[in-house]
Amino acid sequence: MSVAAWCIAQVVATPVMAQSGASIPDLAEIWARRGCTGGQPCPFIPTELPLKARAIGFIQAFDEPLGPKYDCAPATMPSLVIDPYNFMIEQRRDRLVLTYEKDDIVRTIWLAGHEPQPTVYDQYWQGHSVGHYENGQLVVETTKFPFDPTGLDDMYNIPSSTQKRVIERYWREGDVLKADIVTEDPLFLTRPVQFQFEWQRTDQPLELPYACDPDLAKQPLKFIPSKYQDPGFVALPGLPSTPPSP
Amino acid sequence: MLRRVVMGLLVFCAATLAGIAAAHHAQAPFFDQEQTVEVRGTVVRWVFRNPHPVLEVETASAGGEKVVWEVQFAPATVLAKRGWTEQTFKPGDEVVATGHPSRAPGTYGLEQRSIERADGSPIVP
Repeated sequence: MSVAAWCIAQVVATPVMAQSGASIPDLAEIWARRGCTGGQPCPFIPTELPLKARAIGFIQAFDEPLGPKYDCAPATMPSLVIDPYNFMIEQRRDRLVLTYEKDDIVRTIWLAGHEPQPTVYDQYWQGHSVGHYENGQLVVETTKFPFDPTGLDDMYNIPSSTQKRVIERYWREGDVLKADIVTEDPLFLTRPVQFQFEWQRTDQPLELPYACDPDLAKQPLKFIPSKYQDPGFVALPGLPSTPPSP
Repeated sequence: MLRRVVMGLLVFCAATLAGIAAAHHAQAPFFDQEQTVEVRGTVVRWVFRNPHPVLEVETASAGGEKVVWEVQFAPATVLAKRGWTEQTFKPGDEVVATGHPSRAPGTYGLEQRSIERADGSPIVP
C-alpha cells in the first residue's frame, strides 16, 4: 500500500478528526444532567436578568397559555439544556450531532468550513450553529433564530429575538462534561448573560422518542386563571386594563 | 470497575431526585403551592405520555357526588427511568395521592408530590 493510499484509508476510517488531533476533545458520549454550576441562576430569574424595558413589557403582557410549548414546540437554547434530560453527542468529520431526550431535538453543529451558507432571510427554530475546536474545547456559535416568545426562558416566559446569539463552550474533565453558555440579545438584554453547566457521562441509553402529545400538553391550561380576566391586571402602564367597549 | 458502578448508582440516584422537580412549565401559576390536599380514590384512566402523564382518579366529594381529579406527574421520560410504564395503573386501582390543588375555581387538578397504592405499597416496587 502506498503512503498516499494509507493516508486516505486512515482519513476515511477516522470519523472525527477534522482538525489536528490534540486539540479535539472526545465528547462523543451520552451525558446526564448535573446542573448549573455558576453564573446566572438557571432557569433564569427575570428579576436577576439585565432586561430592557421592552422585555419587561412583553413578560407583563404575556399570558402562560400563549407559550409555544403548549403546542409541543421544542425548547431552544439556552433553556433547552436546563431541564433534567440526557443528551448525546456524536462527533463527525464535518459536524457534530446533538440528540436530546427533551422534545426529540436534534441539533447539527457544523464544523467551520463545512457549514451551509444561509441567506439573510433564513431562520431556524434551533438556529444555525457553527463550531470549531479550540484548546481542547468545542466552541459553538448559534445565530439565525426566529423570534421566540419564550426563547430566553420557557419557565418564566422571557422572549428572545432574531438578534439572539448563543456561544457555547464544551470541554471534558474525566467523566464530566462542562459548558459555559453565553447568551446575548441586544433587543431584550442590556448585556449578555452567562451560566455554567455540567453533565455526567452515563451508560444509560437515551429515552426516546419524547413524542410530545399536543392534547396532553394543553390539558393543564384549564387549571390556570387567565391573567387577562383578572380585574386587577394592567397590561401596560398608560393603557386601560380592560378592552374598550365596541 | 467497582468505582464506575458506584459512580453510576450515584448518578442514577441524583438523576432520579432531580426528576422529582422536573417540569415542562412553572407549576405555581397552575397549582397553589401553599395548599396540599389528599386524593383517595379509584383510577379511571392513565395516560402515560409526554410532556406530563395524567392519572384520572374518581373520588367522592364531601356532598357525596363523584369527582374526577386529574393528577399531573413529572414527564414520562423521567418516570420511565424509574420503571413506570403505560401499565403502571389500570382502571379500578385504588390509590392515594397528595399534592398541590389547581388554582382555577371549579377545577380538580393536582400537582402530584407523592402517591401510593391504597394498601400503602409503592407504585413501582
